[in-house]
Order: sequence, then structure tokens, then C-alpha cells
Amino acid sequence: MPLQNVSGWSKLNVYPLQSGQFAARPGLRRIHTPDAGRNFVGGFSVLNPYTSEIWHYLFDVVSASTTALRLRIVDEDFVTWQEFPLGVNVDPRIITHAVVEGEIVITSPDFDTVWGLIGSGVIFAKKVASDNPATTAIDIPRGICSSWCNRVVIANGASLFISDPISATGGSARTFVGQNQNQRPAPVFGLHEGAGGLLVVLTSRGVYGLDAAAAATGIVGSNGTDWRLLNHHETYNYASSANIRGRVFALSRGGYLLVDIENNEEEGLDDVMAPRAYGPRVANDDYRSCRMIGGDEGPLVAYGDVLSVHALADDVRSWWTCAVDTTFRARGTLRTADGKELLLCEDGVYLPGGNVDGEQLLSSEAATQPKAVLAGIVSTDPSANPTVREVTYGASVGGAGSVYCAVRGDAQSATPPADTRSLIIGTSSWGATGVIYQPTPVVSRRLQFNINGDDVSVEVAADYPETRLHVGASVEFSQSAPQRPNDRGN
Amino acid sequence: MALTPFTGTVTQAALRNNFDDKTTTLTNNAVAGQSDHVVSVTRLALAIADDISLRCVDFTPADDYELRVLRLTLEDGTAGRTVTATVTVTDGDTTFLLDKTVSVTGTTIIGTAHANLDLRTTTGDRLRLLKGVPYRLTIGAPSAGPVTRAQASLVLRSRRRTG
Repeated sequence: MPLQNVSGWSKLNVYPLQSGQFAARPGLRRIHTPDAGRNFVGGFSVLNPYTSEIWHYLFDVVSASTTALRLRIVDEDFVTWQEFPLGVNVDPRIITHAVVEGEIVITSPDFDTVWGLIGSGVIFAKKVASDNPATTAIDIPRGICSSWCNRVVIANGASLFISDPISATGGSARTFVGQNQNQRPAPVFGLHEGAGGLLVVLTSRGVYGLDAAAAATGIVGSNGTDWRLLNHHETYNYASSANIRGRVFALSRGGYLLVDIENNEEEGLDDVMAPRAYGPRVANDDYRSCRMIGGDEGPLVAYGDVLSVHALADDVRSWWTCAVDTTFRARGTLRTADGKELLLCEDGVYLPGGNVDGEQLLSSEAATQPKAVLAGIVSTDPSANPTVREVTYGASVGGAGSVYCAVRGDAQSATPPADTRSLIIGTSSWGATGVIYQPTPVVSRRLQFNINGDDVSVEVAADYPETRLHVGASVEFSQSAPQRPNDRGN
Repeated sequence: MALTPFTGTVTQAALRNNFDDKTTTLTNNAVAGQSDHVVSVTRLALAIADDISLRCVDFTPADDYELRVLRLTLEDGTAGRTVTATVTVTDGDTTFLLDKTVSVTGTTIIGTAHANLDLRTTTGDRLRLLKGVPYRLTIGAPSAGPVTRAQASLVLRSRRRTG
């Protein structure tokens, strides 16, 4: 039977390589954990533009009671520099921040707005009098925020508040005046600075845009720049949209789609509906209540203990799971000093990279390592009533792990022997005449089945992070079994 | 944790051990690689009418400096005179000190008196003096003068870079 191209199958713990190949996702190393009895509920990293340091802003609550929300500012080595209690007992629905000229504004609908300097501490924000004697500053609102044209925009309900710009001649990110207030037709659930400086506002009655030109005047929009309805998409939840390199994505019932232009091309998130032997089948009636995070390579969607990771440039999306701890619930991303993206989850900060899941030290390898799984349906003639006899699949597990295949949930596996062309730790010599390191080769294994029926749902899988995966699986059938009876019983 | 020398066939355990040793060493060095600095101003015979130029020092950090302690030492033969030491931004812009008043007040005794403002506690006020921003450390005029010797000093800490 023909080779099945598995590149379009539902994926679990799969990651694209630049060469067009697939591999198991990189190892996830937990390099930082929350304080005892607490778990993270949000966070982000900010680069100090004047010293090139990275500062992490981490929010945590008491795990058992979801109380005592706290902001912890840590340096790039995760050494705590400031602990700032926010005075509320809540798991915040969303935490947003805006950075303008070395000042940071942190907002949420669930706590008072915080202001500080990048590289220094934070305080609760207090209004600063306007430099324009004709305008009067109002108290700083709470809500969600975004930076926009050297200003800070805060949305509270259906109201938008736009700060004065910070410029060489004055202005403050803490100066909000009544003249720069604006009403949208419905509550605002997302704010982003999109392509070309477009302010993108997601509401429950459509997505609106305001060009950067509107910010060129002291009173925003007074130069005649109008709001535009970008997309009729309706947004009903905080943290359900993300800005990826200037393009704004938002969660929809079946997945997510671009919303900064009218668009109906949705990225579906459901896995193929079929019996599964390896990993969960991820599906949801409505993804709009999930958490969307802007990743470096594409949107991330956190749904319970699984995370959808989409590499837009490679057009490959996969769900990720992780068993370093008992949960794997993503809340945001951080960044190292050299720009590498980190995953912020409730139970810690994970560094993607390497071929093992675990804590920071290699001696703390996790007991359960991930399995990369591809699942799909092999189309057959409805009258064929086929019997699957063999599935052959290959991966570069190199003697350390196994290759797995399953047909309609019936699982088989095999462990290829270590290949002597690769470096085997503990066996190979590094002497001048010893072996030369090269990537572990892909080795195929033929696994036998005797599964009869019309539903030929197949899974192929392999152990360990960064294992290369074959893009094809061979499914062999025996000669056709008796055909289905017709409606007359013949 | 210590390095295990590689000899002959390298075991997986030795590789892991040495990797973990390096990771731990790097982390410890990074945290320990901090440097403390002191900025101080001293005025002998501090009088009520002293011009500010005689009792302040202006400085512009070349790096971001964590403000750890503000100290004031007073030496006098009379008790009960109060002096305040203050950190400000030279042009008076309070933004760069997060709108906080950073000052400590000491009272003279017969002998040497000390007063400290400790900003090292992570749960308290935390400030860094920012690179390129001109700051001023000032000894205020005494409540009754003169005071034989007044010295204000700032303990600052810079962090190492990895970026």
C-alpha cells in the first residue's frame, strides 16, 4: 500500500526543522520555579534600552487559595529585585504592559495600574499634570493597555484612554486627559499596536483600527483621522488575541484567524477525530475561552494542560504536552538576555532546547519524556473492508527510545538498536581514531497488525525531544476481505 | 559539585556531571558578579547658612546602580541638632526616583551619631539610579548650627552584564 504523507496529520509534540523535516519538539528545561506555595499567573520580560539588561516581571498568587497577587521583578538570573504586592486576591484575567521611553505601565482589569522605570522599581501609578494648560489630567484608569506612537493606551470597558506622548519637550505616560478619551461601540477585550503603527482594538462588536497619523496631534484624531472597522470578528474574552510581528490574531470558535483585515481563513485547532493510543486527542467546542499568547514564531494557544505552538513561516502547528511537573499551563512568554523565548507556565519558566525534558541540571531529567505523535486517517475504498497488516515508520531514536505505531488505538512499538555511526555516550571513544559525531540516523521499524475494518486511523510516534521524524509512513494491507453486504443482504 | 576529568571512554554520567558543574558555576558567578560603589559628601563645620554648593555632590551614574543604603554620620559636641541627607535628581525631576523622597534624618549626640535608610529589602521601596541621569546627594542645613562634621554616603551596586 502506498506511502502515507504524514506532514498534514494532527501533531503532538512535533516541531518543524528549517530543512523542511519534522522533529519532536525541543526539550523543555524548567530553569526557574515559583516560590513555595505559589504559582505564576502571568509575566513578561522587558529589555532595558539603556543597559541591555533583561528584567522579568513575574506575577504569582498563593496556589491553594488564589490570593495575594504579587508582582516580582527579577533580573536576568531570576534573582528577586523587588516584590510588589498588588493588594488583591484574584487570578487576573489578563495582565498587559506598555513600554514608552524607558517607562513601563502595567495594567489589568483586576488590579490598580502600576507604573515604573525599566531597570528600577514600580509603584502604583498616579496621574501627572498635563503640560498643556488647556487640558486637565484625569486619574489613571485600569483595564488593558498597549503602547502606541510613544503613548500608552488603556481600555476600560468600552472606553479608551490615550496618554500624552513622551517627547523631548515633555509629556508623561501617566498623563491622561479627558480630550483623549474615546468610546468604542462595545467592550474592548484586546489592544495591539499593529502593522504600520495601526492601533487595533478588538471589541465584542468588531475589530477597529486607528492609523498612527491620528496620534500626530495633541488631541488624538483631531486632525481628521477616522476609525476604521477592520474585521467583523467578535471578541468576548481577555487574553484571546495576540500580536505576531504586527499582525493581530484572535481566537475563534474553531481556532484562530487574522483579524486586522476581513478574513475567513481560520486555523482549526481540533485534532483528527479518531481512536488514539498515544497522547490526548485535543478538541474543543469553542476555543474563545482559551488563552492566546504571542510567540516569536506564531500564535500560542493554552488550553488546559496542552499548548498549541504554531510556526507560521513553516506552516506547521502542533500541540505540546510536558510532564516535568503535574501541570503544564502556559501563561506567557519571557525572553533571555540574548533574545531566546522562554515559556512562562504556572509551575515555572521553561527554556526550550536540548534533547531532554527536566529541570535546569541534567541530573534532574524528568521521569516521563515527551513522545512526538502524528495521527491521521488513511482513506480507503468504502467497499474494501481492508485489513491492516503492517505499518512501517522511522525516527532517529538511536537506541535510546522507541518507534511507535497504532492502528485504531491498537499500539505496537519497537526499539531500534543503537547505531554505531553515531556517538554513543559511555561506549564511543573520543580518541583521534574514534568515531566522528554525526546526527543519529533515522531508522525504520515494521510493526505488524491484524486490524480489519473501514476506519483506518493510524498514529505514528517516537520518543524523546529533537528526534527527527520521517515524513512518511507505510501502511500495508492484506488482500481485501469480503466486501460489505448490500442492503438486500447479499 | 566538581568537574570529573575525562579519560578514555567518556561516560554519560561524567558528561552530565560536568555539564551541571558548569551550569552551576555560571549561575553562581553571574549572581556574585556584582560590584558595590560609594558616593559620599562631607562637610566640616556645617552651618545653617552654608551655600548648597558646599554640602552637595552631583554625579551621573555610568551604569544603572541599585540604591542600597543612604547613610548619614554626624559628629558634634552638642546633642539634639538634626540634619537631613537627601538624594534628588539634579534638575528636580522626580520621575527618575519614582516620585519618592529619598532622605534620612539624623540627630547629633555628643560624639558620633549614625542614621541609615536601608533600601535593600526586596519587599520595600526599591530604586535604581539610572545610567545617564544626573543625581545630587545633599546634606541639608542643620536645625541649629554648626555641626562639627557631617558626612552623607550612598552605597550603590551595579550588576554584571550578559547581554
